[in-house]
Amino acid sequence: MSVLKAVASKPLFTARQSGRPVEPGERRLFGLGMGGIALFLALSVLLPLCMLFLRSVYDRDGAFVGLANFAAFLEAPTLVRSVVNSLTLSLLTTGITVALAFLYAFCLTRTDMAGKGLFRLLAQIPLLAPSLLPAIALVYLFGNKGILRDLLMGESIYGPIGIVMGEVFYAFPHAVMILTVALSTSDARLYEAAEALGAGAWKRFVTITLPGVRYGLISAIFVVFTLVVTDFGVPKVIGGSTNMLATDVYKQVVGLQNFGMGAVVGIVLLLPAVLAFVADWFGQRRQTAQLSARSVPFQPRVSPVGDRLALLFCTLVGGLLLGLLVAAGFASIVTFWPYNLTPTLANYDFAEFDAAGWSSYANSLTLAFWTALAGTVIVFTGAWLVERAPGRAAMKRTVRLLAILPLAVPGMVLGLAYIFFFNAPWNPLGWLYHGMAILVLATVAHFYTVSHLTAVTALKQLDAEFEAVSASLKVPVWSTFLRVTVPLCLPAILDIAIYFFVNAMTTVSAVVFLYAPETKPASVAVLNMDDAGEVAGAAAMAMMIVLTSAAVRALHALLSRALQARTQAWRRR
Amino acid sequence: MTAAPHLRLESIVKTFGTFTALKGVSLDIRRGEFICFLGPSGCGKTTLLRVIAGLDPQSGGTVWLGDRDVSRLPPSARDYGIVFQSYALFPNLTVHRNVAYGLKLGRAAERERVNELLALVGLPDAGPKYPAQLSGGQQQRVALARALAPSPGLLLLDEPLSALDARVRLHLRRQIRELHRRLGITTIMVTHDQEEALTMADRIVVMNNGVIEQVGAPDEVYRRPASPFVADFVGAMNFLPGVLEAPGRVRLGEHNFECGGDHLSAAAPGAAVTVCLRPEDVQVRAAGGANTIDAVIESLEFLGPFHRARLAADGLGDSRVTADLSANLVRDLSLESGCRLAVTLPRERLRVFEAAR
Repeated sequence: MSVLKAVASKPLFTARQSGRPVEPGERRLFGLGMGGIALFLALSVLLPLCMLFLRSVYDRDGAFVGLANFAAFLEAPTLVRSVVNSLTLSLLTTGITVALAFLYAFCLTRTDMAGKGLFRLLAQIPLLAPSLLPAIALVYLFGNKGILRDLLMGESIYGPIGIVMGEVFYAFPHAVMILTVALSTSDARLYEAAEALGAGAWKRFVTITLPGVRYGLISAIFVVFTLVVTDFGVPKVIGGSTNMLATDVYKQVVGLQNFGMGAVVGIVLLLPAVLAFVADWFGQRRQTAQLSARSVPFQPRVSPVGDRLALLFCTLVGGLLLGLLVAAGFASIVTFWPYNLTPTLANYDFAEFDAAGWSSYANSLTLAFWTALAGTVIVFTGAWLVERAPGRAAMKRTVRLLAILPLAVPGMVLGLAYIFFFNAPWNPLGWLYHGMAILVLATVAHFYTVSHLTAVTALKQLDAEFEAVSASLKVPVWSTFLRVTVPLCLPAILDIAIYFFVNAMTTVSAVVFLYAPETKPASVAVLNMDDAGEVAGAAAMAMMIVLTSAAVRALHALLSRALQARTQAWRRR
Repeated sequence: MTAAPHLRLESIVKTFGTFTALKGVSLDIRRGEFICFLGPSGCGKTTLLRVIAGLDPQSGGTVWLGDRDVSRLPPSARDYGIVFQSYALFPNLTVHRNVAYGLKLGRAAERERVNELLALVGLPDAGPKYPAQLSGGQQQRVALARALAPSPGLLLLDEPLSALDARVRLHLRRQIRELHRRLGITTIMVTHDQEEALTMADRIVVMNNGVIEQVGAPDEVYRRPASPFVADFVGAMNFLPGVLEAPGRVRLGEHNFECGGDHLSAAAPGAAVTVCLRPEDVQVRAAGGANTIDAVIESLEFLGPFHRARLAADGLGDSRVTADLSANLVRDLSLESGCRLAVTLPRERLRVFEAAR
């Protein structure tokens, strides 16, 4: 998925000046557009976050209590226990995930093993499902009735073991993507020079490979850690009595209705993400271009033993990823796991388990559709205004910063912030609160940054003078936008739309605070059914999400190929 | 010149933050002229072009197009066509649609105009192709056709040839020059290539550090550089340190030389000066009379049609004189390293500048 590659390989902050005067008509349009984007980001990210900070200093009755909530947080042994749990388990997961992902990415990029395309696909399996799915599958395999239970040698899957296993599955594809990008940007000439100087394989690895990917490694470590520490699906399903910060937010808010304390935990959850964000920013700033136009791409050489080991490793890891998915899928189509394995579709009759029935699936499709449509239009137009429209340097800086901000905000925190902001009695936008619109808004905002960076990357590849040329030819700039810019960026636009769609299908964290009974999405239905002990129904609904995401991704692949064929004429020399 | 200039720049200033890219540039350009802005990178030549185009508006000063003050007008309200170094052709549109991009004509008239322009740039059959299917030189000609399509009064070329290889560049130079002759359109070309400027321009504007060093016809700029910078930037040049003895007389080392310069009126006798002489102006065959000195060939470098000799002249101390000697001369006189010969530094070719302090 090229969307994340954009994040992995591009600096977050870049500036480009262009100061041409604009026609009066254009000026108004640009002003409106830029103002609209800034307003959108302020309303959907900045102001809700401000409300979150504000609410953390009020108690549950709305009285100002200063830092009392924070003090209470530090004094509550259960919450401190959660911090310790979150930190240790996230660190452990990060270590395992990044190590596995590094090896996996290394096999994909630096060996000549067979089936690389297949393994690339396998690594993306977890992206298709909500994080609840691996946890459910683990319950089936290792839970009280699990067929592989004996492998745990008496330990329970409900708790740290299950959390770590589920989170590794959930975070794995993100780490693989970042590290694949980092490992594939290497200059073959360096390796040739090292070999000519008599450096052995190990020395080449330590002196060339590792330094080359160190920013990718750092980035992967932070991304995985942030994902895991803020994830709520896995510990919710399989955590048992092991509390984590993310589940605490849910409990404080949904269970205890203690919004002040919820806000405090939310702010604590914001810390690792902000830290990661700042570290990544500094890393990107210091990173110099390793790949110049004159670089020679690295071509892995055939090595019978190495390639076979790589194949073995990737088969093992890819098999485990596929295995979890198949386990959940299989369990969803049998009568009563593991005692009665007669095939049935009864588990897909969701009305049996959940009042919402199939309607939550329809809700998810609606949510995903509108998120993809609105998100793509807003993100691409916004990126274009920031990158290619003239003037308004201060406003552009603001929008750039606001567009990067969502990356640092975990979904749980965003959802919580939305409650505070949109549910506030003074907010004229309060009517949004119980509709589909707020789910769309939250999802667009939640996944804004990566989409924005994808659009920016595509726009930066266009000749800087297109707008200047069209101005000199007296053609309005929006005409060039529609006739040239959009067609040229269509692949990136499709990527963005698909990214929004799939994430809207699978996300739980932000929407879990915001749905109303009639807008409940499928991912939340999975959660509810699992909560109610209807694990088979939960697995079936999760499979519906997986199948939909996979189908959309396949459609996207076909569409991209068709598009490429149609536009090949101008890409080919 | 009686008519008002086609383009008049009055004290144009352009700052980027704390950096001043143009420090008060004034210039008149006549209708139909072919002007080259020449200078090293960072001298402000492209900035000046973008000021004229309205793409980077000036911080101060006025731009007149004919009798219109266009200083504050957006690009589309000015009247020019522009070609960029990158061509900026729209890759998803055919050549035909690229050229037609700025045309607002009926379908038939548009087709006719596009065909006319494609024929003009020598690509009559390129219409249905996409830019990526053309070579760099062909793409550049399409960009030229696109810029000329709406019949602008002014053509701006921003380093149009620098991305091309040498042979194509030579060909396109001639073609652009020919196009200019045929259409008579006022043209401004930015280049850092002095040979390009010398062969193409009616007048060259030599720029350095945000100011104009000299404006003049190519041979004038070449023969009578107005400053040491121009002397150095355009062509090869000997720089010899000396002292002004009296008007028309300079001392180099132990020798006195006559010089025909009228360009150093400001300096008083006794001032330190730099004497400039082109290597090809050093005379060997007709050596004799005033300004003649004896020299030893220190080294002789073969450069095809001529040899470049490094001469250690008697009484000039550590200074070395570079002289271009034709292959003919070297053969006839059997010149080689270590030979002694008499050379003349012709008085009318010596340019004298006040030495930089």
